[in-house]
Amino acid sequence: MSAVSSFLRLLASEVRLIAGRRRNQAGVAVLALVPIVMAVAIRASTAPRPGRGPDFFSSIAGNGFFVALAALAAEITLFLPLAVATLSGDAIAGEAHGGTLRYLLTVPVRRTRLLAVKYLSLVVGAAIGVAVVVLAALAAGGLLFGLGPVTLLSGTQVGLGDALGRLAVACAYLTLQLAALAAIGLFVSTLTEQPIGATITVTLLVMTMWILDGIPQLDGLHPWLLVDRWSAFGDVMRDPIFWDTMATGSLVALAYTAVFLSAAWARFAGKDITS
Amino acid sequence: MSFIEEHPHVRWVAPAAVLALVAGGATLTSAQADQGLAAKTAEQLLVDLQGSTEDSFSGTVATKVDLGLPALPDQGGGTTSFEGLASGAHTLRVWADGAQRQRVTLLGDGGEAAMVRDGRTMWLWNAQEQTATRAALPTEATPAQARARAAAHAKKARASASAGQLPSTPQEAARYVLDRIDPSTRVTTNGSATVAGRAAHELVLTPRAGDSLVRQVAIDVDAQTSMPLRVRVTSAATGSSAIDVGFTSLDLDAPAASIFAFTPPLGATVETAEREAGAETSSATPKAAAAKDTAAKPQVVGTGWSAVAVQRLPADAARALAPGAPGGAAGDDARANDAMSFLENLPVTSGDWGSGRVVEGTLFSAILTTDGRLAVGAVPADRLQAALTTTAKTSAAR
Repeated sequence: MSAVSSFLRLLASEVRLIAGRRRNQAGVAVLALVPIVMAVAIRASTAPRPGRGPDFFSSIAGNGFFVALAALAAEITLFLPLAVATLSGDAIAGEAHGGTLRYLLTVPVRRTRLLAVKYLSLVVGAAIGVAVVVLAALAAGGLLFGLGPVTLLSGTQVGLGDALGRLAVACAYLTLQLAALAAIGLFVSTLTEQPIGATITVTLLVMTMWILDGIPQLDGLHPWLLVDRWSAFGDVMRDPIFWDTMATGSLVALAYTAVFLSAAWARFAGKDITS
Repeated sequence: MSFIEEHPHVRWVAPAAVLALVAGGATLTSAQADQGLAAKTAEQLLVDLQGSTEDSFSGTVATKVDLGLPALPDQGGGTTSFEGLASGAHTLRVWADGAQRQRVTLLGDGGEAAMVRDGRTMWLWNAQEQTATRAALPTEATPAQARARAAAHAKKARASASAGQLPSTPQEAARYVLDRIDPSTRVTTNGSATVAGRAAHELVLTPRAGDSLVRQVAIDVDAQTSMPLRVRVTSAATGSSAIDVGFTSLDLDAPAASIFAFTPPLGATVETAEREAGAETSSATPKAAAAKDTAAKPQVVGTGWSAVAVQRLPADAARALAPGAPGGAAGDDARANDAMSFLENLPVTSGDWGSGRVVEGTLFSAILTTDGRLAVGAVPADRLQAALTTTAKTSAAR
């Protein structure tokens, strides 16, 4: 049995474990509910409000495709980070709290490898979260408004296939951003044995970054905040795609990931596991 | 037992090293590294600027404008439009392929405003309003011809002013310009800079007049193509830049032809603007246009950077604009009401010249007097008051 396949088996069992938890299933349902509520609300209201409201809202009535973008814009501020925070709270602190961490380490699994499996399962969880939002939005939008050729922000009209490709790029970008948040979450999770404490800490970190990002006097700090370029996923709707902000945002996300993953490793590999 | 297991704290070196690497990398890329460019004189830079022929490129431009003006009445309904460039920070994408084809888009959150020009056809696009406006440019409005006309004009004017002294080479022209602006402006170079990852020389214009609100104008000129890459205007009032416009990325390859093709999307409102593109700005403010037509030429007090223009507005415009005047802007439309409330919120100032409302920005100030005179200049408001007094005296003497 090669090392890679045993690693993948470990990862698969970890993902199954995450997917099997009742609270995570409830979380997925909430993530899926938001775009459905949005689509129904816009369908029910009659007065169009051009040029008002959050991003992409005004375009929904013409094309269900935009439900996906509006839902991502709405959920990336709190719901998706909250989902990652919950999963990362469970990752190490949850195991320690439940007393299962030391059993995990009695089987011949190196700590570094266990940490890697835990992190990758968080990334898979984040990707599933983003995918659930988009798929629920496309289903609700398609049902209520229909799907068709999409008018980009630049005024160019592209086919649905092209637009879905752009949406996939946006999903990949947001998953990368959430993966950076998962690295922070994994580090926080190694610091405590209280999963709820880790979840709250990560959520508060995200909220604090959003607040700091909204204070114009602190604009020197903004480029360093992880959340600062999260809304740049909308740049896929420009023609040609505007990569500058997303490229910088990806670099920032990778930097956060590198710093906090290595910190989580330093903490976890040297930690006394007593419970 | 390995070293790292005996000394678990050593592991923390790893995150510390990663952090140092990230911080160091970020500092290095943003550092204004000296490019080892040969120093150039202001004259050489001016010659280079004239020789710049780069008109095919694509890039991203960041603008940051802080004129220190009170918030203007909201007219765009919060949508992304080019008027918004007058204040705050914005990102523009620009493409150009020769003098005939340009495209500029203003990026906004969930919105975009675009200007696409291909030959004589120009499209204006607003994503949030889903409107496409088509304008046919008059033939002479092509930049090349306009430039030729302007050059011919300038030549004629100069010929009549100083026959026989015409600069015939870029070097002479640069000398000529420097000589003309030297009494008011110190033109220097300030080493090299890095703009959009490109090495650039910095040309600095500093007003000699101590009372101007403009402290200096810095122009970064690309070392390779002599294209201006960034312009910064520093305010003397705040000490920080009031206008900062520069490329953040630049590609000198000609953009693909498809960039300049615009087809209004289905479902968008398509409008046609038949009038000249140039008429659009003046027709937007009919009062200002009327004022321009009928008012006398403005009197200019002072010279160079501290010059103040004093203009008597035509009686009807003055009446309409005068705050608190009976029947002023008689609620004919919401925009006029907005303008009225904007004016009424401005501070009042008075002196031996009368009284009026004053706007003090970071680069210029303006006073609109109750008797319908408008004084504008790149100077603090007390200089405007002095100019108003001077012009009142001269017109009384007349």
